[in-house]
Amino acid sequence: MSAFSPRARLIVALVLAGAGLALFFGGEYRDLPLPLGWVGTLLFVAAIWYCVDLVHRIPHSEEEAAIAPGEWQAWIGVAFVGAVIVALLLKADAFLPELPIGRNPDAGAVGRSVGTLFVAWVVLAQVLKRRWAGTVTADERDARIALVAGQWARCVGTVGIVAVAVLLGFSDTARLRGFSYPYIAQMLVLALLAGAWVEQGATAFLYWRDRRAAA
Amino acid sequence: MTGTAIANEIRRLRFERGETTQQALADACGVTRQTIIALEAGRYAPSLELAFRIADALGARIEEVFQWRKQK
Repeated sequence: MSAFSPRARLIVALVLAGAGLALFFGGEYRDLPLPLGWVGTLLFVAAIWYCVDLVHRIPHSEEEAAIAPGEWQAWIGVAFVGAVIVALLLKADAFLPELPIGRNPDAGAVGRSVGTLFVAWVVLAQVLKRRWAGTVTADERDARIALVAGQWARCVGTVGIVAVAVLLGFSDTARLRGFSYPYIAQMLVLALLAGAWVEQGATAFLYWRDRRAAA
Repeated sequence: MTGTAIANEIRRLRFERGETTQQALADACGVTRQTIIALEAGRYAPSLELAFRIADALGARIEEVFQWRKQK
């Protein structure tokens, strides 16, 4: 790896982290005699750790400087909240049994996956904050963008919650029996996550639109 | 965040006042460099306080830096 530039090594490490996450999500369901989920977790943690170390040694480039810290954070948020939504949708069936999540091992596994994603997001955000330490990372323009994006998020979150309420309110009792309480709880969480994803997406879009117009 | 009705001469004044860099102006005003880029491109209208801070950093009067483009 030392033959490559720090930037190339960072890209390779991020790809490895992505592969680790893919194994983490899919590993337990593969018919192989290897603990792929555990290997994926190890790979993900090692790759992120390597990125943390490397990111402090890479000099700031002109392209990086053109992107506001808020935009970096927003794109990362789009990726992580999107991954959480995809994980919850792919494993939605795990919430169908009429069991509290604490006593449902499948739902517990989904919860751990989502928890790991959130932890990885927080770690990555902290790493980036350290990279920008000592510089102004947000000002009144960032606050204005956050305000507009927050309004979009509130709209989408409200529509999502109302959609769940309408679905529950207008469904036949027989149909409602197909939805367990954990499943309904998961639908409400998904509505909130949709709002969070739109907030991150709108923030990233507004930064990108200004940057593109200024180029 | 769309085009604004406030024009500015930040870019010209930066070069006239010793070729101040965008980063140096941003540091002097307590904002990010990307906000200076957005201001120069006419993509953002600053608050009154930031407008005064920019004018002060450039050593100019506020009306020299910012002009109101009257909509017809």
